[in-house]
Amino acid sequence: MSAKVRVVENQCQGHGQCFIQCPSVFVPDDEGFVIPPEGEVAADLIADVRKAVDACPERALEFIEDYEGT
Amino acid sequence: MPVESADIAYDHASSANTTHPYETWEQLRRECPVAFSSEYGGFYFLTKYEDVCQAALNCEVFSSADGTATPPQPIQLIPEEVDPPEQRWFRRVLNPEFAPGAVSALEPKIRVIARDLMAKQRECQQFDFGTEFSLPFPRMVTMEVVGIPASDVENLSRWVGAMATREDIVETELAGISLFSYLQNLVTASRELGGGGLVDSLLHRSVEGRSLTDDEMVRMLVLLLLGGLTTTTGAISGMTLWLADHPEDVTRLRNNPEMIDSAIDEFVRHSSPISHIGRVTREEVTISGCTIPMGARVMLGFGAANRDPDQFERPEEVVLDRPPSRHLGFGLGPHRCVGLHLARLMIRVALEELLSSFGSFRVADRDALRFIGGEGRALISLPLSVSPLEE
Repeated sequence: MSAKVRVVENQCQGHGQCFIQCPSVFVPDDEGFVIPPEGEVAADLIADVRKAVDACPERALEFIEDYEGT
Repeated sequence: MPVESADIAYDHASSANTTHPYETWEQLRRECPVAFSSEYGGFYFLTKYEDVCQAALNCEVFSSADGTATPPQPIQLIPEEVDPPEQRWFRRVLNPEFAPGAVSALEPKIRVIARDLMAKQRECQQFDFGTEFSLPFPRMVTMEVVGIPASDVENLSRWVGAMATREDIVETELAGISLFSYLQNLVTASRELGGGGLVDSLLHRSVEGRSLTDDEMVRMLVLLLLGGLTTTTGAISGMTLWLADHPEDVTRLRNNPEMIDSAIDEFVRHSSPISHIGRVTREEVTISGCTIPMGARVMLGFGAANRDPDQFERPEEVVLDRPPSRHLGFGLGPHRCVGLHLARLMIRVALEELLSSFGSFRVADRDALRFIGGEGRALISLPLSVSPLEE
């Protein structure tokens, strides 16, 4: 079992809540929008990633559980 | 069946709604969440979190191009009063200037400004936190960020100060005219002579393959100069008022500085410095079962939405470790506050410097608290009694 986080296209407006909640996964680009994180979320970061997903006012982040890695 | 809204005669700038709007907002949310007020030529007023979100996210129906102030201001601000896709072109020019990396580079300068202002009050037993700190601090930081030449700071501070606090109508209007013509000259001079700073940097960025016109530059600069002033003042004063009344929260923040970053957004939610913002409908639209006609002015109650108990538990309280909340203190959708990272940084620096300057502080005179209202709502006079840190 693994988890991923997806950024809904064109929905990020750069509030930066995710950078505060989980800075090791969510990083801003030069304009302040989130760079879509790649790969699986490390197990010890899942709680923080969930907080970031819950904090996004634009609902631009989607937490995908039980992701079947390819 | 469309619900006919009765006239609630709500005036967002009235003294009652400026000083203590919460009971009115609560009653409206419960009894008439899509209300109609005949003030200012008539507008609808949304007070529920979900309704305000729906309107803020739908820029095609809820347009900003006819002004976001109620009543609308004489000059159209960029990008606040422009709709997408044009709005996005201007934001693309501004965003890099206010991105997290660019903003954090400013911290040392911002801290010096805060420290100098606080140092002046260290020997006092009592001072007005509004006049002495929460008003001048964002003003001085903004001048620094925009790159106003040192010789002009005094005049400009007076003008933006008058426009921000709006104490005298004539003075406010004259200040607006002076500011406008000053900025026109600043843009012309920067174009000819360069000069660095934000103005210079904006002049070198392109919008859809062309450079910004002088007129566009001025409309942007007015927004940058005024947009971050009383809003940040309101957040910092609101935070300080709460902490003055809740010393236990001061202790928690002192003992757990890692709480500060998320506490900042909670303070912004609680004070909601932009409490109201206007839109005009481009077509008929239904919100919570109520039909709003095309061409209607609609006021989005960010302040009311941020106190909606359906969205926030115990909304009237600052909960320092509140679980991440999708608050609307910085707005929502394409128009969300461009300066929010700068605002968060200023609020954090203000809080840290407040905690390291004084052992304790409390409200000295509750009758002297003074708010300004309208779209922005801010506590601008906050007399504090302070005691020094124990060594």
